[in-house]
Amino acid sequence: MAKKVLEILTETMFYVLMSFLRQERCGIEIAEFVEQKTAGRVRMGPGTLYTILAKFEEEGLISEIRVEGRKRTYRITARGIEAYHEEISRLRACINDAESEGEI
Amino acid sequence: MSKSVRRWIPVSLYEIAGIESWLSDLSAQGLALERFGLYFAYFRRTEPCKMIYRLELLPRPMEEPDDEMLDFYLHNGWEYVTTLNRLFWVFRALPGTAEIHTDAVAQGYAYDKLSRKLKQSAIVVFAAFLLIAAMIAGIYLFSEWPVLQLVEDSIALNQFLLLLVELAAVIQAFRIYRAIRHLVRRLKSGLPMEHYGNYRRGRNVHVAASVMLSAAVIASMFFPIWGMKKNWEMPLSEVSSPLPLLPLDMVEKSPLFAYRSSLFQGKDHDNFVRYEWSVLSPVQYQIGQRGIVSGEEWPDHSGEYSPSMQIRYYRLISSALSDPLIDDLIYRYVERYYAPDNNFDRMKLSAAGLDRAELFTAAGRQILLIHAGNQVMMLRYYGEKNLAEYTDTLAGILARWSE
Repeated sequence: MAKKVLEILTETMFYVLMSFLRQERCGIEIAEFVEQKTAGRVRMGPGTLYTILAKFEEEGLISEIRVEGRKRTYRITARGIEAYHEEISRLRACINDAESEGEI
Repeated sequence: MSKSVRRWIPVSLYEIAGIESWLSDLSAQGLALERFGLYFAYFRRTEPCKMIYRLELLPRPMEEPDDEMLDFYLHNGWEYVTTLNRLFWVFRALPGTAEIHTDAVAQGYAYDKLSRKLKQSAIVVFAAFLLIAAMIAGIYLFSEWPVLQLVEDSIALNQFLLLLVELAAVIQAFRIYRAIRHLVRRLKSGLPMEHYGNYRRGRNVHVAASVMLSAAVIASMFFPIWGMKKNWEMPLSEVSSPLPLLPLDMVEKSPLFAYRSSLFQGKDHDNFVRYEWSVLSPVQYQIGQRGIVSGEEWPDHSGEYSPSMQIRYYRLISSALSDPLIDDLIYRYVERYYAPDNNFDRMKLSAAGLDRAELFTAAGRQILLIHAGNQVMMLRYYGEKNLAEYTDTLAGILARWSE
């Protein structure tokens, strides 16, 4: 089995990927999505946002589709969707394991 | 109050925490960063106000953040200042501003890429160092007369300086790679970057090392050019300044002796003076003399008697080189020349004022090697007179040339 380069999708990275599911977005729109979706629970610094976007683009999870002026718009790729679903499965497995342990 | 001020950068540009701390401390003294140069950072004077600085790894090859990025950073309290080395953006903010990065693992992925590039660079630099070292070692270790080669070679020091510079580059490359590798491990474990670094410790060493390295690079370029400019050659008859010379007419002692020139392409190849410079021997002369004695023949009647003498003179930077140089000259001009039969006679001479004097004779040819302190002289004479009679004269010549 080939080693995954992105071995861990952190919570922030997961939400960034999620932001592309319904539509293509630019940087500020992603930050607004994450802020709204998590009701402010997940705070994303500007450096983190652009680092994640650069990494996702490098790994082929998103692709830049448009540059208008100096604003870049991205959309998720098939590989990105696959990575997102893999993370969903992993998180579900975690939840199931936790629920099977029952309440303390 | 906006006059530009410059300060020497006290740490390597990859010591991120050190740079950030230094900039922050300077802001408290009223110096706001404007830009970075090669060795200096440039500041404008402002009201003292402690700011926090952050070096942000460029997410992609670009000179400055684009407009959207600038807006978003500013919205979060971070002002873009400048780009450092096409590697980092520099941002500043008021103390208490939320950090630029909130996900250490994601930041670790960015530094991981840098770490891989630095590793490749370090390997390339190390390979280059090995190649240069092997080439230089090959020249001198496999040379049959390494001291002579070093003394006469005007670019020898240049090569060693380059080697030192390359070695410093290797050490620095691996230090930087190790530091970034350590940072990557820290970030990937979920720990955020440290933003306080002690830039004071080791500052003087860093600055001194930078100065020395720069001086070495400049010297390695300067010396060969300077050496070439100092070298000259002219006919012996046209030289009016004193020379370390045993005149051939004095040796032949004949009123019928006359210097004879052999011109080729306008140059006299028999009676000439060549001056050269090298770091190990800043004064070197090669003097050629040839003449004829009218009415006389060689003892074997092979033709008109035409004695000649070539002189090589070296003033070395250290007398410690004198004996090794003479040994190499003996090997180069005597032992190797007459190998394998070695049909030459060797005689040690003594004279007041000479530390060493040896005369080699073979088939009408005499080679006399002498040294006094840091001066070495080799005379190769083809004629019927006896050079051994001139050791006192030569001692006097060397005594005058040592002044």
